[in-house]
Amino acid sequence: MSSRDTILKALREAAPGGVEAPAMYTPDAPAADLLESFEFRLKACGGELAVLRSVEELAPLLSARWPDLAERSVYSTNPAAVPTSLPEAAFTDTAALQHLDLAIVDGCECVAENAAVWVPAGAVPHRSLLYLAEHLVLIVRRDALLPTMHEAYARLAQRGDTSGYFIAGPSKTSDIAQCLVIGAQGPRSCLVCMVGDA
Amino acid sequence: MRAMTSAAPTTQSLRAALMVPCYVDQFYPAVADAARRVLERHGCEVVVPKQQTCCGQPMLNSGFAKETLPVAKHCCKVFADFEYVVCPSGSCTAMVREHYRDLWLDDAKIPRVFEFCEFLHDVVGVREMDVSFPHRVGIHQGCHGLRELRLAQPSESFGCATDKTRALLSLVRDIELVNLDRPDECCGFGGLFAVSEEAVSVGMGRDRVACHERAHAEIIASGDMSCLMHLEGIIRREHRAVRVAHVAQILAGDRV
Amino acid sequence: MSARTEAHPPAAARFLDDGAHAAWHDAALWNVRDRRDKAAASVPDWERLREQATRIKQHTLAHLPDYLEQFERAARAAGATVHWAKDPEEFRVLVHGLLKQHGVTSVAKSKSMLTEECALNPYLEAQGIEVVDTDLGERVVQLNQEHPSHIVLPAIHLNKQQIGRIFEKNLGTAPGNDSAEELTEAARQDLRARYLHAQAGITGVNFAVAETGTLVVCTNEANADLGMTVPKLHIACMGLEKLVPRFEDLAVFTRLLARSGTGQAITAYTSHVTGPAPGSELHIVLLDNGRSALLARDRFRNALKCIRCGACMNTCPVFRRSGGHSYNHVIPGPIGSVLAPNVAFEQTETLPFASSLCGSCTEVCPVKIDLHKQLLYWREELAKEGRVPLSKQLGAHVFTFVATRPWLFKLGGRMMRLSLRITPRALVYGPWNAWGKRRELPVPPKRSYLDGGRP
Ligand code: SF4
Repeated sequence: MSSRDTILKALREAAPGGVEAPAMYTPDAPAADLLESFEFRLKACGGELAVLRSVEELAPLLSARWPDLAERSVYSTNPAAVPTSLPEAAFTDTAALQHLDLAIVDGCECVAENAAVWVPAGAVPHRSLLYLAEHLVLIVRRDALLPTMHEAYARLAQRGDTSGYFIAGPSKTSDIAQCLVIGAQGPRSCLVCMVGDA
Repeated sequence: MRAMTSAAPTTQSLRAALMVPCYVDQFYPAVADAARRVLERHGCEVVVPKQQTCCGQPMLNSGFAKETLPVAKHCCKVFADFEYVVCPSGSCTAMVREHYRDLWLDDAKIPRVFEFCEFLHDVVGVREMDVSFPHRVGIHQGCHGLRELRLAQPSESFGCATDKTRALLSLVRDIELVNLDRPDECCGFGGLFAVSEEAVSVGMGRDRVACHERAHAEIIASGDMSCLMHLEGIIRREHRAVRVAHVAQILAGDRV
Repeated sequence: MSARTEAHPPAAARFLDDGAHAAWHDAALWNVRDRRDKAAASVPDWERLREQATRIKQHTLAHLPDYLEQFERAARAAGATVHWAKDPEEFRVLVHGLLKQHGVTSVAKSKSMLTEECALNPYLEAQGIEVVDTDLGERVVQLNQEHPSHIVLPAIHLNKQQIGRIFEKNLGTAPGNDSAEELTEAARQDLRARYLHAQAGITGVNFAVAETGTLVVCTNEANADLGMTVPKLHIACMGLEKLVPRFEDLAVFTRLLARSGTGQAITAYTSHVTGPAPGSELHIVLLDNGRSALLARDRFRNALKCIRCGACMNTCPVFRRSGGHSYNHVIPGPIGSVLAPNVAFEQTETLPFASSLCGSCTEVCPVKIDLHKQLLYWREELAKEGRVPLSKQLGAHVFTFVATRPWLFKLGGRMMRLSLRITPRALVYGPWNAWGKRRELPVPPKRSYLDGGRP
């Protein structure tokens, strides 16, 4: 008998059966204003929020933040706002992506209770650039802001979007004597730009 | 130092058996006596069955379920005829109420045991107390009373259980209840754990004493004398100034 | 696993010998517990959420073989390859086979307690494959040639100065440099070069979804993400118990996990992998190693609900004061003490006793495992098998005999108190008296209460 069958047989003998699945969970309504809560949570995990009226405001915002933006290597899913500086071939070459300064990526659902932003795996030409980039900018729509993970997962399940990443702030660690250090191995900063109306 | 006492208002006449934890019987007769007097002062008729021995907890906690069963049965027999059984220990109360069932004892045969503060607070309904105790007191929550009997809301969980020990002590005149930075950390007694894990047990006990000292408590009060036996052992060995008292002794207005 | 491991009490005593360090360890973990309390309090329906989590797990375990088959089908349909391993031996051979087949000589491995459980690193290294642990804490303990002492905070037993010295020796940081920022930066530079060099990434799995074949991996450093997106081969290792039925169930667990473990609202990266990335391969290795046996044990089955958040360790007053290594088991703390006897009954007989049974673990556990009760039940199993000291066994029988005979109980008490009163102190407080080593015994009164003793 294969290991698979041996294991499944043992499990069949052991599993008690019965026990209905509980109904889907309905969370308590959050007390705070969603945007306020999102911003509070994002700051708490080392990220920053910019609320923009339109995506046109993005380029000046980033230039103010990185005055040498033009000389930097940038990947952008939103070339209308900020263009990509890398040659197409770099997208599948992780060695080239290693020196990526900035990734500007469109996100989807934003979660107020924990500042997580959903980035579908298909949003980028190579998944690693989300993590190799020194800095990450996520562009999201104001109306994608949801109270809790439950609403976010319900939407993902509905459209069958099951490959992707919830990203909450920059990479971080407390592994050295519980001292929080922002910028562990992935992006050193995470700026969420929220565009449009609620 | 002797606190003022006088007869408290009698609510109703409840007949209750006093279950005396074996180590209280052997080492702290004053605690059992204080518990009896407090109950009587609050209108209870107290019976102390002479045939009682031990609830069996030390054995069950060591894994000897089979050997515990006869002891548990004896305990059930002794207290079978009482509507109320009151025990000045959260730990022994939890043993009877929460663990006898695991020994496959029939629910109907398990005596209705109440922890001392719980009984006064919930059953007798004590809301005033004519006693004075002019000291700074830190409350030590015994873990089993806290988490298995919910005598208060454990600090790591969410709910609204009333702190019954605190509620009763707050009725005492001139008492000052201090706040601890770790409100309900275990003292490290744990029955035979105190011996088999001596180093950790003493480490926990020292930290617990230090926590009360940081809050400037003069007295560490608890509903569980077993925790206090352990803490007192450390306090006396290290010649510390803080003292221990069972809640019953404070409510009785005894000198401690 | 065959050598007899050290018992908990002496290992704990040694940890406590360095009082200052032990106090730091206790305070650091208490701080994490404190952050957990605040994070949990920020969710108004926290206790209801825990209840939902435990019920989902209860249901999943009750139908585990069905859900595993569903998961396998879905993962295959998404393009992943699924493998099954009965035990660590088979697991190691399987993973090595996959690496060999792909010509892998260097692996970037993120945190996975399961690979620790299977002692994968030494095995692969013996086969000439370089394994780099990429989680910073795991990297520290790897460089220091030891094991993690905590499942979420692998290097919590080391302070800054110690880590500074480890980095000085291995990464060439300046002598005396113990700045967390600078040490983290040094590790970043070192590790990022290694991802490019590695031909495979090995990760653990936090959750797996039966209906979609999705794997969820949660980290803060982005190390697992780099490991599974930079190299073209991703091997995900998971215990059989990691499943949840529906994609939406993930909401319950991602809300609980980080809040319970570190007090964060969510980990920085919560990554969902359904099938391989274009041009890459995904292999999922499922491990049993005692899990099916645990599922068969009525009183202990609940332990399979564990989501490895580490909260029970942070709150455990014994863990905080004895350090994870004192448990001598891959998973330490309360959950480790209930998992250990299932796989290594003979070597772990002191673990169920390494608890005062305070019950705080049960209260914090996000999936409501009755941890302190299970510790008690394991004590019963050990006693039943005669695996407690003879003195205790004998004592229990004597106690039963005496405690069921009130007259004898009274007499015994009298004799005990009398002997305590008349025996010289030096004899009472001899080396046989563990209580009295650093504590006084109570002062015995002449008469017990039932014997008429009054204040
Ligand atoms: S037993 Fe519970 S508290 Fe402990 S690690 Fe597992 S899930 Fe977390």
